[in-house]
Amino acid sequence: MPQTSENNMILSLNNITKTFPGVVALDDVQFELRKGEVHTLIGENGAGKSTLIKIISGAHQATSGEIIFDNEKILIKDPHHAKRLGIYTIYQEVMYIPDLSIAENMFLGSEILKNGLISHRNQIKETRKLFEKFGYSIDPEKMAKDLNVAELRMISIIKALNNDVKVLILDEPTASLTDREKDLLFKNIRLLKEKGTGIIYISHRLEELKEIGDRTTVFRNGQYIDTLELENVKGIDDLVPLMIGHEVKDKFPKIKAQIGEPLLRVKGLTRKGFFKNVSLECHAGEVLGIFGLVGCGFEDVPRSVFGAEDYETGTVEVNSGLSFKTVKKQSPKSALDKKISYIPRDRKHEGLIMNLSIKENIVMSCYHRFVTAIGLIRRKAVREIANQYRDIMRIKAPNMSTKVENLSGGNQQKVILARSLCHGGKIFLFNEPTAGIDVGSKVEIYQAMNQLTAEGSGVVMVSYELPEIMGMSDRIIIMYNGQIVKEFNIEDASEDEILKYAFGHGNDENIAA
Amino acid sequence: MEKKVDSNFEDMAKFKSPKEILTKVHSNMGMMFFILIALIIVMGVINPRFLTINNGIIVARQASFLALIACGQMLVILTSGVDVSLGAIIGLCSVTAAIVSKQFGATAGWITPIFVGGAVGLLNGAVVAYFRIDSFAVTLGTLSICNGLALIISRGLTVYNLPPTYKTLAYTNVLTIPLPVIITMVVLLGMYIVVYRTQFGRYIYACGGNIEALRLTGVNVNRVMMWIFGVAGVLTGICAAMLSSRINSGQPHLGGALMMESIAACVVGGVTFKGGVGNLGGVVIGVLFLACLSNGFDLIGVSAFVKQVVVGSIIILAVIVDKLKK
Repeated sequence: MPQTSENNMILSLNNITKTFPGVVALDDVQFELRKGEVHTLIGENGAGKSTLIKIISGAHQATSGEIIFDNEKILIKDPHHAKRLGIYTIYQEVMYIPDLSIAENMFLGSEILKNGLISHRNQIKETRKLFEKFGYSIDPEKMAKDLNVAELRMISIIKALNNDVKVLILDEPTASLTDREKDLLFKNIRLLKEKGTGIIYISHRLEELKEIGDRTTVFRNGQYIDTLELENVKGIDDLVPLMIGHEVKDKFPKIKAQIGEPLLRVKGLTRKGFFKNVSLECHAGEVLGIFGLVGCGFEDVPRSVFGAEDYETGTVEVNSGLSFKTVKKQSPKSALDKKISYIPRDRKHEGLIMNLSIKENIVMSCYHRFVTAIGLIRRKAVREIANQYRDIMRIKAPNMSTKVENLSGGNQQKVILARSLCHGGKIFLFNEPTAGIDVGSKVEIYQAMNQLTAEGSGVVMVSYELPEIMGMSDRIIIMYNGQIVKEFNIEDASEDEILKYAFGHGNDENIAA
Repeated sequence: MEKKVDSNFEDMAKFKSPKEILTKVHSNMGMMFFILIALIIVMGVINPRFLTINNGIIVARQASFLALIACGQMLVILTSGVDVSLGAIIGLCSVTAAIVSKQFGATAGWITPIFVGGAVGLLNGAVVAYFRIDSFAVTLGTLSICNGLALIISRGLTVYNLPPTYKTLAYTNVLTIPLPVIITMVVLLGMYIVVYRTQFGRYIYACGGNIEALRLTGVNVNRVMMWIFGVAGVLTGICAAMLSSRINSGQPHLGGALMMESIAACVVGGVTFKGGVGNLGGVVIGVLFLACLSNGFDLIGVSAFVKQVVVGSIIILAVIVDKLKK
């Protein structure tokens, strides 16, 4: 019996430890993958999932421990070696060359030659055949840059499947896929399973796990927690305590605050191709949720209000106590001066200065408060204020001189929030505040929102996540096709109604209004 | 004399906590620092004259010119740009300084290049920042403009017959230390404070790291970019004043080689073109390394042609080492 079970195993990792300077990313963990199974990996950000994946795909080498692949103890030297062994990885970020056609991207590195020259005709023919085989249809002569993320992802998956794959690693494969594409992906995953390929599947979307997975392994803080047969897992909520180590009692710890006078007034804001005639008000003590579906244009609203982007017509005004003052277009400085803060979705590009330390990022927008009369930085003051915000925001890091690039997504978001608080604001614009953040940090971000409203600030929260919108807002605005189509007070809102309007099926009167 | 500059550099490092120094020395310039020491020892063994005080002073003087312009170059490279016009700015500064000193005296001739360099630098920065153009393209343009202007002003000839006091800037010694070395050390100390202890300095690093995020924190990034090039121009102007004084004339083609050397010093010193990474200490080591190498080869009698090949190889090696470290 043990003999057969061993033969059934394509990959097993035993006692794997991986340390980076100052961090133990994986601490004596184990993982095994059977032939023909979909084994899901779950855990919060920073739990060690990606490190494990990188070790299997050869991008990192384990500090200690053994890897058994196809009944042989091996050492995976680099990603090329992994590929030769039949281990393929589809990363979250799709690699492609924008100015080459799909067919050219498909055969990049293994071009089809004829008389020593690339045969474009054959490559296109082969690509077409391949797409047919996997039930996907797209013109192979299209330029890669003209495709959307979902199409690119499908193509990179098909490209991997074209090889003799023994182990396939999928890192958040369904992010930004449409339902139809997701079904197609799942269908192909099932075909692969039948062929005996072992599949490692990482996803933050716990609902998907039961749909596609056979087993799941849970990691937490670099440690192996458990491996479960997904059949035996009743509800996904059973997995959450394993992931975070304690139960999340309340995923949305909303505390209602006293709602006061209007703080922010946006009138008739229009940016061509993005949104049209957007008017809204945000009051003191209020969380105004803005919801819509992908492509509804709402994520650009807070960016324009803050001045990160331009807009054609309309005004943004802020209550300055006695009167409303207009915020200058395209001037984050003007917005900040008038106490508007913006917490971007894209932390890497819009949010943080990755090569600088936590403390420097926190004081970046108000450095002038931490300099002496002759312009020298008061470093002790900077350190003290940073420590203060570390405690308030519960930022987890070795120290405040740590570069923010070494932090997890949740902690990075806390640093951005700390910067906003340090600068001081009255109106906080959150753009998808918890995108890509682990469960525990999410709750802490929500608590920070509660704190803000309790102190009489106004919060505008733009999000694609309906539970979050329902859970945290006092008032909800729904956008469709670049326009506001409906407004609900939270008491009157239901998921069905909201979705109806978000899909553009609300009644026409409202759209006209 | 190298020792003097080294200890000066060590003094700078003392501003940091001991732990930070260790990490810095280890990760950023540790390797180059030890290679520099090794180079000095090897040169000294091959030709003991290399280790004499007199020769030390010669090396320090050579290094002092390059250090200023390399420091300016570092600021620009930190923003993930490059300034290829710095050499041409020296030429323009040199001829204007010479002509001004003939008209208005030596002091005016010493000060003018600072303003000329600063003005060209600000112009570079303004175009780069406000029109969002690649700094290489812009400074390539100013390189040609400055060269042209220098030739027009000087009618293509070296400007001679400067006031006799003009050369004192480069030839005065204070306690046997040449004045240019002292000026450079003072300027570098000032730059150290600017880079590490002022808002502007931190913004330079932030520009290289993520300029969009910096803009969204309400910082006027265009102005910061403009001043980065401006400061690079000012440093180049100071360098030009000292160089012109040294040759006691104004030459339109004075700084051609220095521009490449300034980039080389930055690269050897661990400043990466990606932006946001690099420090002044590393650049100083890079400058000393190039100066020692050049001087040592002269003493040993290696031809200038071979020297070029070696320096080029070292630049590439430095980049490879930098890459491997990651």
